[in-house]
Amino acid sequence: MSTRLPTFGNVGLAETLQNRRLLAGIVVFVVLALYPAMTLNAYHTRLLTWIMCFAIAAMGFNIVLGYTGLLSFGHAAFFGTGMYTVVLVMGRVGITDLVAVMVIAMVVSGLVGAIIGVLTVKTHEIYFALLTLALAQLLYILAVRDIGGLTRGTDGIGVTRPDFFGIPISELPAQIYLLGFYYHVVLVALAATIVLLWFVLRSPFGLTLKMIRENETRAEMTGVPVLRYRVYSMILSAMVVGLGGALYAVLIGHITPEYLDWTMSGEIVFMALLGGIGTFFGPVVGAGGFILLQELALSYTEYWHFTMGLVLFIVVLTLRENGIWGGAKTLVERLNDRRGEQ
Amino acid sequence: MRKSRLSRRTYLKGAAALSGVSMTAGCALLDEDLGQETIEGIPDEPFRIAQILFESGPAAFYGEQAMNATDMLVDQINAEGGLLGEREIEIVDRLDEGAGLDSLISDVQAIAQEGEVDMLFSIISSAHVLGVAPAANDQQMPFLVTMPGTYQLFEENPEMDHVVRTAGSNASGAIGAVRMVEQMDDIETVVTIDPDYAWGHDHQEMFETALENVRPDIDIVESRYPDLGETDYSAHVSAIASQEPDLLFSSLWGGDTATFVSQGVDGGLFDQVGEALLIGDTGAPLLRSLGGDMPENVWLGGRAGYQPTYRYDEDEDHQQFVDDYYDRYGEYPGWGAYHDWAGLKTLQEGVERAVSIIGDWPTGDQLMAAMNDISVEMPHGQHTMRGPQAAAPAVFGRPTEDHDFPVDHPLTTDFEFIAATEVNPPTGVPTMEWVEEIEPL
Repeated sequence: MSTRLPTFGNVGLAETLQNRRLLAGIVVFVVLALYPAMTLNAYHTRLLTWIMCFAIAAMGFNIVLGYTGLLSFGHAAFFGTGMYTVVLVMGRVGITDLVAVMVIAMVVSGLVGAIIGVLTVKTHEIYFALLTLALAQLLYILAVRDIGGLTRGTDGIGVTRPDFFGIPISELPAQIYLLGFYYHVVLVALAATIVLLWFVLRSPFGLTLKMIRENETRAEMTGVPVLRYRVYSMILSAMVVGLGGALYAVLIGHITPEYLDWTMSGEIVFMALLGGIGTFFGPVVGAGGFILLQELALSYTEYWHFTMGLVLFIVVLTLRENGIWGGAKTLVERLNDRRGEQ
Repeated sequence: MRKSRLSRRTYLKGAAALSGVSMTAGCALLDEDLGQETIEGIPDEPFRIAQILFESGPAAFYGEQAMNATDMLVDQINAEGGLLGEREIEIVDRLDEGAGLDSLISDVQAIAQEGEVDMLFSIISSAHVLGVAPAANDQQMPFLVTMPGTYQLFEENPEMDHVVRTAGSNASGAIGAVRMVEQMDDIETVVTIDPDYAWGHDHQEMFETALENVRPDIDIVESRYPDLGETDYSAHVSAIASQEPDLLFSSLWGGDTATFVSQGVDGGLFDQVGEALLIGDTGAPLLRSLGGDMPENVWLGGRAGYQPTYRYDEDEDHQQFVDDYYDRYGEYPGWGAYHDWAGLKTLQEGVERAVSIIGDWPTGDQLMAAMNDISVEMPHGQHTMRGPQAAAPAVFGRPTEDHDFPVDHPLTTDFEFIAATEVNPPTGVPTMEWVEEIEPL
């Protein structure tokens, strides 16, 4: 089975603009890019940055769950690895360039993904979930115990702002750094992740993952090295989730082992489920929905845990794997069908 | 046991002198930090506070005490016209720490941007304050931290000029315990038991390091770290009892201390140990929850050692605080309540000081500068800020059933007071460096 990316013919600008999805994507990107300058609203900008970091993580997670059919409860390991790599690379190694730090965080997360993948991909369903959970908890414990004095235990460790290609941008005031620079970095990272995953998951590689998800035995019979592909999907997933964590580390400014804990894995699973694991954009919508719901519930009621639980329960029960995004797509399709009938 | 070398009178004199000097230094600092902005006169609208504490999760009991005390004290201050008798305080928002660091930082940004809050107040978790305080400082949002004890707050973030902390750091509890042990005869072996997270590990490390310096003849034979929120201490109880240590040291706090002591009493632990030093949250709520289970060979206390019986008769303000709290809530205030009391006193004093110097209401920067190097009267004497950080003394007491208070649970008595100067590092010296070099008294 080849892992070549699909080749694309020369596509003209006019043709591109006729693709309504692509056009909508470009419009959304431009609107989001202009948002901080138009509104100068630091709170909303921060909230959007927060959502985008988790959208990247949830999309990364969905490679394993939505495309390969493996429910991992250990993705906090990759998210937290991305975060701690940023701190350690900046604080201990002295590399302060944002792009270099992000690339290193992705590589380290990918390595952790490879190790966890190799150790777990032979198992299925609940055993896979529990094994990934257990291995991730090992990292959590290492961080809590402050092994080697690297993590400063449960009190956590502060993150300084990185520079950008030698420009000492970190010296800007926090507000300007966020509004004028960092938000756009995360937006570009999200867009790049979406584009990359869009092509990768539609390539023979992505289709092979789907085949494994749908019928592992058949995939094996057709000569697909199933275990190897599962490890590949874990590595890719870990790298993307690690990128989300690394970007988030700079935004939050302080890292504690909580980001390696199973509750973080649970949140990422919930985001993917809420948005829809059976859809490409579901995790992005899920991350937004989850964080906005939490912020809204916190502002209006002290029973925010209950409110969130109830909403998530109803969404997951009624929309199942389609989630909010899949549900919305189905609704639009039905409306279009009705219009067509009329 | 010998009494502390410094008498209370000597300490109070010293503290008064120190506060006089620091007041002068603070005035100079304030003059420098006046900034460009000014607020003319005293604003008509209330001084708006957003309080951060646990309203959900296991630590909510601590948050409840703090919230109760704040509500009561704000009502009292407002009944007299407010700050300076002219500007009322309003608690306009409460942020639940149970929501986690992500939400707290996001909310702090929203609050700073909306400009509808004059000051952030309280916070319990050390991990949270290490994230929220720099974020608030970045937003130039004044933040009066009242409860967390991590010594890293200002050591890791020395540039924060919009943050002050009126709680003593965890050094005062740990080193206070060392000073207590230093005075004890017949101690050869110690077992420590601390919660398995930064708070517990920091305390154990400071206690062990300092004890090696001041009493090298004492051995720490075992250190145990139960999980935070542990429900079954039987293995720990058996292991400690089998060591029969002369002293048991613990920084367990809240429900953990109550569960541990209760199960320890049931397992006969306190018959096997000579003395126990409990330096976590050991206030009246702990004694209430333990009821008759409290063993007698125990010292309860730590940083500031807030106990309702301490100088109750001698200190009218304290007496009024304890009585009012009891009348309003039907129980005695715990440490969370005292920490926020210290915070509100410092706020009042800071406003008074700033207005007396500049003549107008202070801006956020000016108010924070005014709360640096300030002293307020607390039950343990002058509660002195060294720069933005309070230097609390350590106070320890024995539980007793023999008291005149209208509750049927033990309270504390036979207090030992250890001056702030003996349990805090000198200004500018990192805590752990100071602990490593600590010398016998």
